[in-house]
Amino acid sequence: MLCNICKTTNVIIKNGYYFCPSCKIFISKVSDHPEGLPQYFAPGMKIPEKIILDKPIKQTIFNKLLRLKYLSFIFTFFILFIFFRNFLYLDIPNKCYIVVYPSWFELSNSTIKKGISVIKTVSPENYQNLCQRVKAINPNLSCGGFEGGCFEPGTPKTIYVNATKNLIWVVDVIAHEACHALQFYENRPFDENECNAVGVEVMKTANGH
Amino acid sequence: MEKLKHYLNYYPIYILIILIFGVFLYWRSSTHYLDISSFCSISIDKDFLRGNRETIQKALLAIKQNDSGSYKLICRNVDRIAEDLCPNDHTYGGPWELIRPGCFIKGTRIIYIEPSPDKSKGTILERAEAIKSSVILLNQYLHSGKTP
Repeated sequence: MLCNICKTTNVIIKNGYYFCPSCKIFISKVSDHPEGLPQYFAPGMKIPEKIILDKPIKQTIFNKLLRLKYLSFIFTFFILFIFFRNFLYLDIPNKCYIVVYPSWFELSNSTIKKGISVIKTVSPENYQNLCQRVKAINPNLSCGGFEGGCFEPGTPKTIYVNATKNLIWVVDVIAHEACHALQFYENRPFDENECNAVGVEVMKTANGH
Repeated sequence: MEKLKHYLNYYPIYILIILIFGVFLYWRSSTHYLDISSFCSISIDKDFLRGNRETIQKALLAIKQNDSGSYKLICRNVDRIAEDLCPNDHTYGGPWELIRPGCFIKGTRIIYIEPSPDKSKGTILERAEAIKSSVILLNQYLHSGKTP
């Protein structure tokens, strides 16, 4: 049964009304025309306007709850997407899970996440150390100052990496701070020269020239 | 005919889609190097203070005109050209020793070239050479069994 308005789409029965999915309007009650509306859809026949009801579906509490359920599902999915995209580095095969905290300086943590991937490619032993010792990277300003890094013994599972611009430098800082995390784990004194050498070595390996 | 009429009723939506596509294309062409005929799109990160995106775009055009082999390699292997320094060494807290004029980063498809605000033809050619030499090395690296 074609809709008399658009004359292209078949009407369907919805909540006791004839409904055109294309025009999105309700056309007459089904109970008023149990045989359908053939007389109104004859070619060339004009339809009395009063027959078009355009009455919205009555919203029950169930409808509202259902809509709320879908909205909350979409919202949860969106939040999870943002979290996974920006604040979590995940490498399931290597069991490497590192949270990257939100930063006041950068909208995106993509450089830090990319930096971890570069370390994975160019220096597997440093990547393994990073994954084993570090559970979180904080990109906010710390004792390392701007474009620097810091390791605080009070929070040995967190390293501070306030470098987000130059990817090669980010790689260096992450490897450097992960080296301090290893020194802490092995109860060795902090040796900046050792960790500087680790950072520079990873940086040199990451550089293609 | 009736169907066509029905679809034409939605013309504001079509205009909106065309507008959105136009804005997207404008944004894309201002932040990327776009060559639709070669299916080539490369993001260009400009250094805000010391850089110039236009000379990179012109350098890529120069490569396209003069060295189609390198151009194909660039389109296939590079997804971003960034104006930034390539540090290669430093002492603890000391200054960077730089690689000039550019490098690529292993594990990515990014090429770094030294920032320059100069718009001269010489700079464009220098940048073209820097991009070419980096992309050749990147291609060798990619074909050495490593994955980006």
